Amino acid sequence: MALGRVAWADLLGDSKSQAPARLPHFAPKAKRIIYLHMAGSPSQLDLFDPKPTLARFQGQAMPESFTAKERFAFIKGTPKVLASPYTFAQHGESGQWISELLPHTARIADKLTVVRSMSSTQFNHAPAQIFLNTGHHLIGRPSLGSWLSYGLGNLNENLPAFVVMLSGQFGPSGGASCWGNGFLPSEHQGVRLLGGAEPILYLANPDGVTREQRRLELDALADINRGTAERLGDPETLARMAQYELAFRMQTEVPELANLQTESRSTLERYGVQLGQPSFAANCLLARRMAEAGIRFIQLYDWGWDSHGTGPNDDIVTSLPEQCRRTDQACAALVEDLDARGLLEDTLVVWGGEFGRTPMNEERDGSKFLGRDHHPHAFTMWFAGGGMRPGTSYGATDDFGYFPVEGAMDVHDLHATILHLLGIRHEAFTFQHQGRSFRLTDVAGRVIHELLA
Amino acid sequence: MSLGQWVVGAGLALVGGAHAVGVQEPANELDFERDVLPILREHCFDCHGPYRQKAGLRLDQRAAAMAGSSFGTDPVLVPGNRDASLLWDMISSPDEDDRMPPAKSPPLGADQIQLLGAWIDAGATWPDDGHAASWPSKHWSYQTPQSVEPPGLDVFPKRLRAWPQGEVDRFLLAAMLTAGLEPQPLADRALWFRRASLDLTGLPPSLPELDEFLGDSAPDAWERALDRLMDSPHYGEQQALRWLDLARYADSNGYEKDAERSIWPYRDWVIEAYNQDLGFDEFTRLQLAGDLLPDGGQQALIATGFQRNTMVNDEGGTDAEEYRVAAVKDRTDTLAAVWLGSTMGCAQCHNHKYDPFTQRDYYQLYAFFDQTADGGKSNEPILPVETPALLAERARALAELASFQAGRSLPQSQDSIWVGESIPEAQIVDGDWSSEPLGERRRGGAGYQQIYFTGAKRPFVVLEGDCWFVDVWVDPESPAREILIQFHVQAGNWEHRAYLGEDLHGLGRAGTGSRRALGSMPAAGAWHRIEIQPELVDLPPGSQVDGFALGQVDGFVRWGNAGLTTTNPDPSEPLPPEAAAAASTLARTVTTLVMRAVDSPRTTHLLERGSFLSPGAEVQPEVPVVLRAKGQHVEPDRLGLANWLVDPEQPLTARVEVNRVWQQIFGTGIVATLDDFGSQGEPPSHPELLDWLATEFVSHGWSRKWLLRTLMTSAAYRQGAEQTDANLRIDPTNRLLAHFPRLRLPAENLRDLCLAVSQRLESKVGGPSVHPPQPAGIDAGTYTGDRWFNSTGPDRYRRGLYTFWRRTSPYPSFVLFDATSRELACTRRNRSNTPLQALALLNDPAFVETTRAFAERLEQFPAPDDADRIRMGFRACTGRFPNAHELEVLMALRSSAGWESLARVLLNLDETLNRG
Repeated sequence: MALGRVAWADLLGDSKSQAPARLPHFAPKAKRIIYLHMAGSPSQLDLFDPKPTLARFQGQAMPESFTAKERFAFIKGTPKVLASPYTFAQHGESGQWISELLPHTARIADKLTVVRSMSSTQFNHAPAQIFLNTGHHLIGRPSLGSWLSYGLGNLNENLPAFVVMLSGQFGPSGGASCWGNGFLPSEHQGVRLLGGAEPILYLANPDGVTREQRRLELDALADINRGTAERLGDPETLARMAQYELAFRMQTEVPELANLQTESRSTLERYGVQLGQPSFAANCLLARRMAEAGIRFIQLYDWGWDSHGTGPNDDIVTSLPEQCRRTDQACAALVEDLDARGLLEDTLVVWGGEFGRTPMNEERDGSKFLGRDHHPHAFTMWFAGGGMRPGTSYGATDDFGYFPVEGAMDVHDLHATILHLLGIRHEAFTFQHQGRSFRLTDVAGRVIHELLA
Repeated sequence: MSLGQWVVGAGLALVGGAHAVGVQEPANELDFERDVLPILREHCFDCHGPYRQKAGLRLDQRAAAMAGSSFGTDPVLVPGNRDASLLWDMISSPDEDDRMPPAKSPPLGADQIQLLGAWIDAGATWPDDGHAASWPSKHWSYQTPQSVEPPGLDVFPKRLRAWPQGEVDRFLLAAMLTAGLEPQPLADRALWFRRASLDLTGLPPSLPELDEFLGDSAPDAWERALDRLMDSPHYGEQQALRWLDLARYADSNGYEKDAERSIWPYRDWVIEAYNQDLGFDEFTRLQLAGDLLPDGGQQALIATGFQRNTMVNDEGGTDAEEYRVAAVKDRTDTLAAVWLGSTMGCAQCHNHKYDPFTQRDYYQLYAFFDQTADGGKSNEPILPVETPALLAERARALAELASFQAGRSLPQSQDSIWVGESIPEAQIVDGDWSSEPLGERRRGGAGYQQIYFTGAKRPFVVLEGDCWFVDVWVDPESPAREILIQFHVQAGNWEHRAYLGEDLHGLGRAGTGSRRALGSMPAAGAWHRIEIQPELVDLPPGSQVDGFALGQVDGFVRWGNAGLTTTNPDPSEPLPPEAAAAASTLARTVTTLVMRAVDSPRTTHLLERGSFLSPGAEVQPEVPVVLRAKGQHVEPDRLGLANWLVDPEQPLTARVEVNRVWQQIFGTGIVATLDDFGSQGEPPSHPELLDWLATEFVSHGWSRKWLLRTLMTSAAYRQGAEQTDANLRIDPTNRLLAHFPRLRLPAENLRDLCLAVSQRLESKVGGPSVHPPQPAGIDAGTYTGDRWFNSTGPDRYRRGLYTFWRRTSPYPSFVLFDATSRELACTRRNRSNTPLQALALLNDPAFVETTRAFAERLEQFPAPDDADRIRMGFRACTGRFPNAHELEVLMALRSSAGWESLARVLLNLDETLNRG
């Protein structure tokens, strides 16, 4: 019996019962997404949202009109205003405001759509990350990538549709729930790509088992399973045989995909990749390769943006610039590289944290290091490609950068807009679970048309 | 708007005894939405609406209104006839005491009364609102199951009359025949036995067990085989596996920190409950209300861990109330899913759209769980567990350490300085530890100030009889108000504290080793030695202290030497492995999370839009009105709730549980939507069979062993798995069971199977969760510092059930095989079939290790030749012998690729991975 090539999501046993409605609903602008999640949440006030007013009030008590009824993660007592120690300038023809900490991002200002009026409802990392990924702050709903894997499948039948890569000391606070499938069939969960020789868990043969030996094993296995299939007539047996063959092909295809040695020296330098060293930059370059290979949703988490100011390792004077140095160059290189390869047109790049940071100094336990607490009301995200309008600034916050005053955009709006770019009407993309229809945008979400090209 | 505009029926009615209303020509058709509904809403819904149904009458939904009331037998609405309609009698009654609305409420206007009368006469047109909800509901699952007679044998064709082995088969056969299907012939007996072993114990039969069964030709051999399997301690393990998915059992808290928690005694309780065949009624009572039972004892408290498996978020700044409320909602939703087979979650924010559960119903159910003592940020209440087995284990550990200590003791104690002029080399050092000259380590200031280090390269080991000391001088100029000394243990935490003076800092729990009071501050202006008995701060012998913190509040002190007074010549010398193992046993005070009632009762409110920040009307504990028998009183606490759940009149519990066990054995429930028996769920494939099982289950003492025996002695269970074209065409999902349903083994059982056939399995039942090998770095991304250390020794080879379940980083191969995240109750695991699964079985080091052990076993199996060895291996995996072709293929593989490849192929056979 000949086994044709089988699609990743095409052989799913009893989980096929609820096939999604025909998707996309309309012609998509974006075919794939590279989502750069800055876990811990970067300070918008030191990177994208300049607020001269803060300098005027530096060190003074924050007006109570802002803070009276606030719940903070760590700030106690009356917090004091903290101006950004960094200089901002306008960049490109579009004149986007970007701080000196991000010189490379500044270079691609005209390719970016910057939203300075994002807001969340959650002020702790895990719930905020889960909210940002699933549209609900409590664990249990499918993540954006799982929805897309379920709804759109993959562009490459030999690879998973949703991959996740981590950099920095830790993973995101929300853990695997950030890429969980929730109530969707489990094959739609994000597959974590690992650094090193084995980019997918269990991809490499055990020590001492050669590829030839594995082939012999699989041939024998297929021979006996074929007999089982003929005798019992269970379609699952045939599906399993096909999966073993697909796994065998992945054993060569995935390492090829993950092998950065085939990249030119100039590309490696542009991203700032050191071969053999896992890094955010390496993940960005891998992301481009994954996008080329047809992976639908590629999500990068970079840990280390939680600039509380309890010490030099998490303040805005030492730690934040270091984080920027680790990531800025690769972000810009990724966008430019995609553009140069003609991929940016239908690849959406998203950059941002799970919330913002306060315009006030946190001063936890009297810390002398400068830092900012969690701030759900306003933060900045940027987008590139995939049908977003380049060189666009959208939304604005008040003089203290505390609340959006123009173009407010929340997490549901973000999801609705992303789905729209992929040709999906967010209200119509649902899954029946526990007696009701669920959707990524819950009961909210607006497509922000001003952002679209 | 005057009445005259409306079409009214022929009859003239009298209101108030005298006032006749004339009829004019029609101008407009009566419109229910526009004309009638507003009157009902304004005047009736308060007492006869979604929240209250006085006299059993509900007027906000068509079906409910048509169903009548509990006030007499007269119908409320008779379309076309107001005089026959109770509604008309009530609104038009001349007697003020009888009239509706009652006198204290705003009365209906005469024209409104006439409009309603006219509407009834005109046919009481009430467009179906699409809400299936009705009171009392006629939906099948809300009716108490009645005992049913199974179809008689005479309805079957003669040649099939011998097929049914019991009532279950009669129901099944009748449905098959109706659909044009017939069952498969009986399968090979060896396959029955493999099925039953996997279903009951989660383990494949050993070859001697298989031979024993095949050699037993007595007529009741099968029944006795099932009994033997159910008597195995592994029976409880396997059944617990399913229940733990419902209980969302995990060994960590969830959310960002996802710290480890100890609740495995609950898991062991579940295993034991199944092994004892505890009736599902008592099983329910203990888990929901064990703490409220008058003489429940420790085991009843442990059982309440079911409810404590909710997640806890201790991330900084978290509002404890938000996560307490989330946990209470989770308990409510879990209760609805697990016992009522109902989806209640959507009623958190608004009335259920499809089922007769209102938002008030939801919060009334929620109110049962709102009276509990747990919070959203911590794991309290916690119960220390002392079982005879644990006590014995501790005694052994103490003896082990004592013998180690005896071999190296100094004749008398001496001071062994740990912190003096210098401090031990450590990973993290915080604060200014400089000390020259000694005694000038003056520290302090406003508020709490501390210096600490942790991750000492050479931890200090505490032995029996040792005592900590810390020399301190309190500054008389500015005396500190509190001194706080904290110890950190290796691979542990800082929960080892003692303080002198005022209790200002407030870390840990008062009265325990995490906040031990040592008395008042020493006199200022003189050196003083603080002595801390290690036991007082939960540092039993063998504790390895790798961190130390010195702190003071509001004032200054000088710190001198600190260390241990000990007979140990060098406390920084690492323990040898045996002593270290004993130490870790002693360090483990076993505790488990339990449920307790809150001390001062809370007032429970309906939460507007589900938000804990928007409390609405006050509610009392009450079960959903649609499920409550008329006049039934339910005690307003969890015990009352549990007793109601297992009341035989309560329509859902027994059905839901038998349906779940049915799914476990036959792959799909009689109701396929296990957690939705409501109007949006799938109707039962065999409604009468479901009710027969439910009623028999209750009359057999809610015994799961009875239930399993009933299902597994059926011919349906013993038939072949072969699928014909007719099967695939007529019943592709095999709901009619015209062939035996094959099921890929769940994640944990795949591990168990490989361990069993390679004879590596450590069959110990119960105990703390273990860490079988997982690739390094899998949990490197998790927030907490607790890392996965692969278990060594027998714990490396425990059953999958015992694998440590960290919510943010679940065991990777289990995830690939559809294990759930254990964050929320899961009634049905997916059964996917992916290439990553193939990779895991072929390459996961844990599977590779067992594969190699299996290869060794095969190679060394005492048999005349390799062919026999291969036959044995094939049979151990699949329960049957290979046929000639299969043997030939495997022989060829053995000679070309070796025993390891052979073993791997056997372990990856479709027939090995399936229960079929």
